[in-house]
Order: sequence, then C-alpha cells, then structure tokens
Amino acid sequence: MHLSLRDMVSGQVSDLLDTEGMQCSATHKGLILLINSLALYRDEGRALFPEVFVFDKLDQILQMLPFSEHVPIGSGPKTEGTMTDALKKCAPLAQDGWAIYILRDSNAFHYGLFRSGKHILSVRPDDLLIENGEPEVPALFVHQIADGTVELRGVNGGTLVVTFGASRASETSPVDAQRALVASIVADVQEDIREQTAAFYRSLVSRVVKAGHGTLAVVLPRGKRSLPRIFKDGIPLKPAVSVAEGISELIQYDSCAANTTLQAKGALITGMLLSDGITAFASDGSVRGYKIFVKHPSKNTNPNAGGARRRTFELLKSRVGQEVACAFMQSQDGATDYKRRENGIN
Amino acid sequence: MASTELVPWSGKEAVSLAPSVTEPREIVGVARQLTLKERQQIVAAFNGELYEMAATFVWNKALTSLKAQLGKLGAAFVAEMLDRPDIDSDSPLEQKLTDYEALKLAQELGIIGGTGAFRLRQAFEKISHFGSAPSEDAENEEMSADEAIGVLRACVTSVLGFERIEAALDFKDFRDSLGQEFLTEDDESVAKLSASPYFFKRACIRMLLALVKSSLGAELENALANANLIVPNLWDDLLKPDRYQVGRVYAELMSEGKSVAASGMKRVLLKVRGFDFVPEDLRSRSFISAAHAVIEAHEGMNNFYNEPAPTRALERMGSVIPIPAFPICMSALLSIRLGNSYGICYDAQSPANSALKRISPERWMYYLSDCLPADERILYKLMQESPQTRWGVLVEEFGLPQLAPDLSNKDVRNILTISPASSRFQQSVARVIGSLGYASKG
Repeated sequence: MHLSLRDMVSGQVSDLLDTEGMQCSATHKGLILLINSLALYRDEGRALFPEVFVFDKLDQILQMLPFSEHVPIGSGPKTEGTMTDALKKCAPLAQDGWAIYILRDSNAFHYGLFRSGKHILSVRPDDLLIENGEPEVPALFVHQIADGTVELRGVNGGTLVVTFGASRASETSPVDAQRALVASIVADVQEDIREQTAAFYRSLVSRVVKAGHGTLAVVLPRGKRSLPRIFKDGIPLKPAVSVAEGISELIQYDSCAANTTLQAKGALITGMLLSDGITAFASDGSVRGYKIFVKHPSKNTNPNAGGARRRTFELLKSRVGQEVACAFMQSQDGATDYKRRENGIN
Repeated sequence: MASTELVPWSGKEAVSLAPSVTEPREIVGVARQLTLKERQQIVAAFNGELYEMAATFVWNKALTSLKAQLGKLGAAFVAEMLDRPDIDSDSPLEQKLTDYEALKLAQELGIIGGTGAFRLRQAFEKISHFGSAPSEDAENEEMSADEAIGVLRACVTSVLGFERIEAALDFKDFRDSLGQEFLTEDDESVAKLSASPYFFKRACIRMLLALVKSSLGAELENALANANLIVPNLWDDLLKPDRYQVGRVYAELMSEGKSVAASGMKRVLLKVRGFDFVPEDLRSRSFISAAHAVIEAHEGMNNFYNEPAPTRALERMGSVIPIPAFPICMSALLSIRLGNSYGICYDAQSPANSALKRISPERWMYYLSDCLPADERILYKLMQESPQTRWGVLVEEFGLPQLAPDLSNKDVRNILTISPASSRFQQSVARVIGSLGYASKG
C-alpha cells in the first residue's frame, strides 16, 4: 500500500481555494509543497518559522497596511517550483516581523518580503488581511503553528490545519489551546488595553510553541494575585512581571523607549515559558511565578500517562476550578492541550 | 444659511436682552452664572473706569465655563473634533484649547448660536488686543467703556446668562445615536446630514472618528456600522484635509493595535477607495503639534511677544510638510502673516515667510482649492480690514492670482484676484463662510 501526503491534502487545498475564490492549478500544487516544507522548516540546520502570504494585489495590500515596506526578491513562471524557490530564498529573511509574499499575476509568481506596523503592538498583517479580511481583497496565509503542524487560512474563512505525526488529528487544536490560554491571561486586564495585551501574548505564546521546547503554564483564578500553596516549590515573582503598564505607555507615548521596554518584558516572559517547570500568570496579564514544580500524588500517578510534563499537566487539569483557572501544556513532541474553567470564566 | 437647508442640530438661542440695554448693572443682572459678589465687583469696576479689567474678568469667566463644558465631552472627543492629535486623555483642556478653538467648537456643537459666536469672536479680538504687552503709547490704547460693554454683553447673552451652558439637545441626541443605534439610510438624521452645510458633515465625520477611537464593545460596533453608512454617503463632499483625517485615524488605530476598530475603518476605506489618504507614517503628527503651538501663541494673550519661538520651530522642522499636516501648517503660517486687526508680530514674519517660500505652486493650489474653503480661521481674518490688506500683499508676493484660472470655486478665485478693499471681495469671503454653515442663525 502506498500513502501519499499530496493525495490526502490535495482535495482539501482545492476545496479551500474554491472557498477563497483563488483557484489556480499552480497555486494548488505550490501550496501542497509549502505545507510540507513549513512543517519542519530548516535552513542550514537552523529551524525557521516563516509566514507566507499569497495574494493578487501587492499595491492594494501595502496601502491597507500603514507603515509597511516591501523588498522584492524575485519572480518566476507560474509553477509550484517558483513557490518553493520563493520559500527557499526568502525564509532566512522572514523573521522579526518580516513575512514572505507570493504575488500572483496571469503568468508569473513574484515574491519577496514585506512588513508593516510601527511597534510591537501594531495590528499584524494576518489579523488585518486574513482574520478580519475582506472578500474583495483575497489572500491566503500559510504558517507553522506548532512543531509539525501547519495552518492554511483564507479571507473567506477557509481553514486547513495539517498535522505531521502520529495520531494527533483528534487531539486539541494548538490554535484553540493558545487562544484559551491568552483569553485567561487577559481576562481582567483593563478593557481599553485588553485587545492589545491579548495580541502581545498571542504573539509571545506562538513563539514559545514554535520553539518546540515544550511548556507548562497556568492562570490563577480571578482576583488571585499570590501563588497558592500547591505552587510553593518555585520562584515567586515579587513584584510580579507586569506588561499592562508597558502596553498603556506604548499606546499613549508611542516612544522607542516604551517599545524596547515592552520587547524586553516579552523576552523575559518567553524565557520563563521556555524554562522547565510551570509558569504562573494572573488574569491581569502579569506573571506571578515560574520554574514551579508540583508533587505528583503517588496514588494518581499513572505510569502510562506519558512524560513528566504530561503527568504534571494532568494534575493541573484536576485543579482547574480550584487553584487554577486555566492550565496549558505543550509537550516536547509538539502535542498541545489545555483545560479552562467551564464557560471560560476565570 | 437659507431656511430651507436641513441641519441635524441647531445652535442655542442667546439670552434675550433688549438692544437698548447698555448699563453694566442691567446686563450683569441676567448673568446667572455669576455670583452676587461678582456682579457687584464688575459694576464697581465699570464705575471706577477699570474697563479692561472688568471685560477680562467676564471673558475669563465665560471661557472657563465654555471650556469646562467642552471638557465634559472628553479629551479624545475634543481632540478629534478639532483635528488635534497632540491632545490626549491627560491633556489639560483648559490649557490646550485656545479661546478661538473653544468658540469654534462650541458653535459647531450648538452650545452657542451663530450670532452669539460672531459677537464672542469680536469680543475675543478686543480682549486679545488689549491684553497684549503694553506698547509705548499704552495710555492711548486703553479699552473704552463701549468696547468693554460689548464684551460683557456678548459673554452674558451667549454664556453667562444661562444657568448651565451645555450642548444643544438635538446635538446630544445625534451624537448618542451614532454610538447607541444602528442607523440606516432611512433615518431622518442621516438624510438631513446629506443635505446639511459642510460643517455639520465635517463635525459628524469627526464625531464618528472620535467614537471609533475611544469606544469598546457594542458602542464600537455601532459606531463602525454607522461609519460604514455615513462616511461613504459624505465622502464625495468631503474636502481632502478631512479625508486625510479619516486616513490618519485608520493608521493610528493600526499602530495602536486596535484590531477591531482598524478592521472596521478598513472596510470604510475600501468602500470609498480611500487608501490614498492613509499616511505612510505618522511624521505629520509632529508638524501638526508644531503648527498648533504657533496657533496657540497667535490666539493667546501677548501674542506679539509669543509668536516668534513656535514659528521658528515650525520653520525648522523640515523643508517638506507632510500632506496630512499641510492644512493646519498653512493656517498657522498665514495667521502669522495676516496678523489680526491690531497688527502683526514683526519677529515672527521672517520664519513664516521662509516656510511659505518653500511651498510649491502645486501645494498652493491644493491649499486654495481644498483647504482654504474650510479654513474658517483664515476666512474670518479676511473679513477684517487690516488682515485683508496684508492678504492683498501676500497674494501678489506669491503670485497667487496666476493660479486662479485653475480654481473651480468662483469665490476663491475672487479672493485671489479682486482687491481686498472692494465689497465684492467681502461678499466672496462671506459666501465661502456661509457655505460652511457658520452663518447659521440661532
């Protein structure tokens, strides 16, 4: 028996292109290759996580993205080979806010890099062009959302998540898990900056998940600001590492200093999430502790329950609704899971 | 304004006071916002021939009351209505708002009527002039009793005579409806708006932008839906400076990470094909702030002393003014050149001229065709004798009559080609102001 990824994905990609009104044979074949390549993209042994946009009107897209710039890299015949060339030539450059674009015209694919925004809180291109996109400006977005998992999305709501690996299709969607974690972290952030704080954490969590180290995080219930006894074996942060003030400051004063400060906070929190142990957030967007370890009660320890991180997560899940409002895990093999207090209320 | 024109809201009628009443004691008798002690002090000042002191006291009382009322609308709202991105929620409005701006905004929101605004503007000119640093022959320039009574009368009938000064009820209803209701084409207020004079349209667009920038949740949803209906309806009538304001707000929302609001405004801009009006960067905000510093100095006390520094700062900002900031920069530079009824600041002329000389003919054309018709600050100056004369000199100096044939607005053509001393010039300026809707009664 011979199984081919191409055959399995081909029909789904074709349906998605139909939904998006972007049907094209070369795009279809090219997207399948992109999905395959992006699952575990490496360049000279280094893991890369490029984001790729496919659209038909570069000028219009750039006009819609204030403070945008683009760098044309090349073009080629309208074939799947040109799309993979685009990825190969642009991926090493597609970092720190730069994304790859593939522009389609009647005979060719043109490609390069573009970016937009003034600082780290600016609305991201995928948010504006895809999540809140308009049907009259068709666009596709392909990117890796977790180790071995690639998402393809379009303006009209077409979504395809392709997971490379054993028995994971039925598991929790990494996108849902990340959204649940972020929603819990910002639940009590003051309303006028909640949207921006959520965007800040979405970007941060996405980076952590892509890093593939694995992570464990909890959000304390509403109103809880200090670590409960269950988390006594860890590093409490006093004062807490808070981002809300930095976000307000950046919005209000729009200064380089505020941007740098917030970026530095982001790097610090990323480091905590990539440390062994649990990172504990409060629902006001602050970090209250990290490198926290909990004891597994021997009676509940199931030797078949997976690795240490999975077993810790099972314990944290059991505390949701008590000391914990939301528990989140990404294992080293890329599997993501979460449990949030029912009806989403912390 | 003709009585057949439709207006979404109208200005408040002034407190009734017979024209024959000229006694300070009788005038302050209807000033409900003044305490008995304050009224007695004003009458005593008039009796003691301290006219300027009395007039300045009354003026400050009236403007403090007006600014306090405007402050209740929120700094974000005021900032957007005046297109002043330099005002934020922490800005002390009583300091940031010039008296001229407070009067303008109060008129636009129906807090004071057209006639009241006209009289207050005249009072403002007197107060600014006599409040300036004393010159060598200061004794000959003292405020007269008649002048002080004019100021007192304007302040009392339009502001201090009311128990409370507040926006017209129909304005508040209209503003509320933009954030609390989902308007449709059939709504009376939407239909009225399309047929209303320009300043109502501009005010409505600015109210929507203020709401989109500051609202959350359901109010934001309503504001975005209403923007999606109203902005396309008015877009063809909007002058370019006001289109740039829409584009700049979109850029600011994007920059501040307000995804929902930015996405809603993107829909609006797609509908009107308005992305040409989105600035590539927000450098224009620095120019806008610098221009407002010039205007604050020009319209504040001791203007002849305070104008040079901010004018030099504006002149040094760069050779090319970003287009979204161009209208307000021109307004500031021309204010310096035209001065007021009492003169100009000589030290500010050199930097203002230097900046104006860098304006290309294409930019002058843009100002004359798209900015001047809505630049009420300059238009009102062109109604005054001395600034008119200086306008005549400026027009010749920059060869502006040569641009007249390419202008579609006949009245603006006249403003460039007819002698400012002629009545036809006055009539043309009055028609341009009238077309904005500022001549409205009430």
